[in-house]
Amino acid sequence: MLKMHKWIRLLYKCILVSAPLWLAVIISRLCLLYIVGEGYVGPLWSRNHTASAQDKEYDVLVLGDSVANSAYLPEVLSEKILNLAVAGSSTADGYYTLSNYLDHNPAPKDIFISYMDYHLKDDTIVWDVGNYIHKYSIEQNQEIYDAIDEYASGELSELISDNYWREVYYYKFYTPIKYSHALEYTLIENRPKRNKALYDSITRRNGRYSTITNQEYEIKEDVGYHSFYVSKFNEYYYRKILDLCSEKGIFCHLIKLPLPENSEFTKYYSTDVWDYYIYLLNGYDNVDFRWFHTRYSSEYFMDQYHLNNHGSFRSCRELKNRYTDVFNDSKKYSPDTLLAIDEDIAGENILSELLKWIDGKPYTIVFLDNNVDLGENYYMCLGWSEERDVVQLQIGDKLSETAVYYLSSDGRDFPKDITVEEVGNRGIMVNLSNGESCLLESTSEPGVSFAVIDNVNNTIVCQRESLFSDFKFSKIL
Amino acid sequence: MLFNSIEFLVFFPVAVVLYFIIPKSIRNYWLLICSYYFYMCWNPKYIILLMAVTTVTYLSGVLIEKYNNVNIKKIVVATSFIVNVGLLFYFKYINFAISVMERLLSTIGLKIDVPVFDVILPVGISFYIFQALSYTMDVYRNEVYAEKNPFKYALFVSFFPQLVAGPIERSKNLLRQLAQPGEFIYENVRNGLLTMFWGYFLKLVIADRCAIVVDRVYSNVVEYRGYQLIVASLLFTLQIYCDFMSYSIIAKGAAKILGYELMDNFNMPYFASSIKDFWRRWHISLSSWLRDYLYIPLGGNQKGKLRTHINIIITFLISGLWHGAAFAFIFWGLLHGCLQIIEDVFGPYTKGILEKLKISPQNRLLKVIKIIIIFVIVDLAWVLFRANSFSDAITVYRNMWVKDSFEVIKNGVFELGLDKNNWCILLIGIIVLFTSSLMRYRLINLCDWISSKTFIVRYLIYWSAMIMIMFSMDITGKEFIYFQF
Repeated sequence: MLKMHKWIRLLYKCILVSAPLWLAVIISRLCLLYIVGEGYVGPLWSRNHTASAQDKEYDVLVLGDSVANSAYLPEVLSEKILNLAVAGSSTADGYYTLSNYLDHNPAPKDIFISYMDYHLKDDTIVWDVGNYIHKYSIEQNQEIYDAIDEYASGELSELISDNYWREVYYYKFYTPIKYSHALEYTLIENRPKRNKALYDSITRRNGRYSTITNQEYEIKEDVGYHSFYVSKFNEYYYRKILDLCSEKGIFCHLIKLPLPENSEFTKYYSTDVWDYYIYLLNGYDNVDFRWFHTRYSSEYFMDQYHLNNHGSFRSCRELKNRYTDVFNDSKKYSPDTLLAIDEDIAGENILSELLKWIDGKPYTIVFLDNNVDLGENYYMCLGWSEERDVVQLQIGDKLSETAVYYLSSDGRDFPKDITVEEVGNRGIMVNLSNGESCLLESTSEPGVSFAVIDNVNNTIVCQRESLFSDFKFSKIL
Repeated sequence: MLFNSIEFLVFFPVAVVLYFIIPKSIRNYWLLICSYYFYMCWNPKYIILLMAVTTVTYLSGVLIEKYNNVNIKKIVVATSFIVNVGLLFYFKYINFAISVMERLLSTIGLKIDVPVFDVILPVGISFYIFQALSYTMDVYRNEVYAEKNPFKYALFVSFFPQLVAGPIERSKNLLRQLAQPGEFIYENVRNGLLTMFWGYFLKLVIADRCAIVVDRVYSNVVEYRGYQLIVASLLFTLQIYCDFMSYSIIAKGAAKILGYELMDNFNMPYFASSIKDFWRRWHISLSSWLRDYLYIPLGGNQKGKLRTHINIIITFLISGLWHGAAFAFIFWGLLHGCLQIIEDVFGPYTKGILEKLKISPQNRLLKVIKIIIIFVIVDLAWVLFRANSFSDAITVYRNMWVKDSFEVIKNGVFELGLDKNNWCILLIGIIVLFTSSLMRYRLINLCDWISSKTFIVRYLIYWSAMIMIMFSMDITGKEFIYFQF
């Protein structure tokens, strides 16, 4: 009896001494979003939207890797699209994403799938990320284990780890071995605040989280594409996706996305691609394959494979035109979608592209032109249609002495809750009814200062300048 | 099974709880099963090797005791040595010996092409073979009785806390304790757990962090500048100490929980004031083994100066070879041997100089200076031990003296694989280690000191240490360095 008492005392003390470990496990379990590194927020968002029933019903899903995640812009395509593509992933990840989603949600009508060649060629799976964010169940891990054993060309240790199951359980039980690094940096990097903001941004973008920049790719040399190959492991999961889609009556679109102009496709490569997809699609009547056999110029890419925001915008417009029956939303934009577009606009660096972003949407731009004489000339350079031309803005009772114009992208009158007033010689002040304001100052050289206003969310999206010389506008400053 | 693995954290409590639950009469059998299982976790087939070593040394002990004829005893001892050293040679040195032979023959123009033996070094082989051999010698010297119970003897050879990385126990200590199965004594278990906790702190917080910098720098020494090489070599000095000491401490703690007392393997080696002193404090179980079973049988210091120096060189050569089959280890051993001889030769002169200067050998400042000098020498010698090749070691020695400005150093130190956070944790760990060493120097036991504090202070210490261990968990998974020996 005495000894039992000592055993209990010992146990209680052990638990007490190791309290930080238990606490770490509990925090990791309850607050995963707030502790993970930036790179995990996107996959975690995708996991959260597949592991539970969604309030909203989605008609279209996107599966794929980082190239797909950056290329499909839900804010351009449709409000009923969910971009579930995950960076670095292959068909195996895609299959479990879809399978998890269908376990909790009604089947969508269409699915778009895009993987880069290198993710199809090599036996890859972002297994560690998947387990880190608790995407895979134990049964799914068993399936992956068996599939690697059966179909992968390399050993399990090369592809994942020698200690497959040990690692699975490390993740499953949120052990500090896997999560202590995240916990250590949580407070130092203020991860809770940053991750929450990032998560909200991804929510507004319906899952798109990568490459929201317009950084341009500098071509150094041509890249040759000589052969196309899909590994057995990837094909196994490709077919599982197609089978699942057939079973659920989902139409599947396999899309090969555009590549930059320095990509050289040999005829063998083209033949390989077409032959493979003819072979893969054989027997499925719910699948089509489309190859954007176009090469965009390098300014639409941020590297050899990833479209930048301009590129994604362009490819989405093409996609939308091609699949009019799939992307047939009304032209009404929800406040959240407009907030996503606001982020695209805020990152825009070409004026004509900016105007394409806002075309037909509830935005107003106020321009301050430091040279009245430029007149029509540069508005033509903006590529603006005649239907929606800039209008000179009346400030107070009179027309402004400086050239102040506004542009209503959906053709409406100048909104009443925006007021513009001159601030001496400095420029003009743009005020919104909610108190938000910005000062547009004259540019030092010929050009325009402007502010973009989101009329629905009643917010100033950005305030920028663009200089005009040699009959064209410079990059937005 | 690593001490810092989840498997061990499951295995050990199960082994301990069952050990205390089952009747005393079968506790040792249970420990033997646990020890064999522990060893088989690495490579099940090598259990045969462990059993072979056990059988040979067990039988040799019995035979030595049975026969009174000295010649027969000698034959038995020699047979035991030949078999055990032969096994060690085959598994550890065969390929090295072949390559040395090939090189030697190629210098006289002979080219032979001996295929490489496909052998994997069994973990801990040097430790348990040395432990088993010490038993044979002890029986031969009539220092212990031969153990008649083969299971008890098998447990002595394979006792899992110290099986794979020591301390190399003596039959006089461990075998005697094994006669009486351990009892559940709350204080023992508590102190054992605290000892293990300290061991994990040293391994995870200090050694594994140092390893990140050391591995990075030593993987490509030509890429790094003077101060980076100095930092890496200093950190290796710390790494090898904390790594090895942590294993010994965890082993000691684990044994204590089971009711057994293992020997101390370290006694603040970096506080040594001479090389001889260093070897009295570093890896005590090995240096005392070499002293008792090699240096003294060779004649020790009883056969004149020259013979003493030759004996020292032989002992350190074997010590270097024991650590690994590579020239770097041999050079490292020889260097320590030479340094000890230099100390011996110049000792009387320095003593005379100090007397002339009227400086007492007990002078504190003198002692600190000596400690610093020995630390620097030992640190420089570790470069040979750690470098991937002899030429790498030379590169480190050559480049580590290149000066850099403070600005360069300030920025460059973060290019060594640790960010600010991790440098901070490492620094705190080093301060804790230094403080605990100072306490020990003043004969204060860390565990006792902590136990004497109030609940709040005690738990603040435990939790701080636990948090630091936790923040070190995802940089672990590294094997203990001394496993490879």
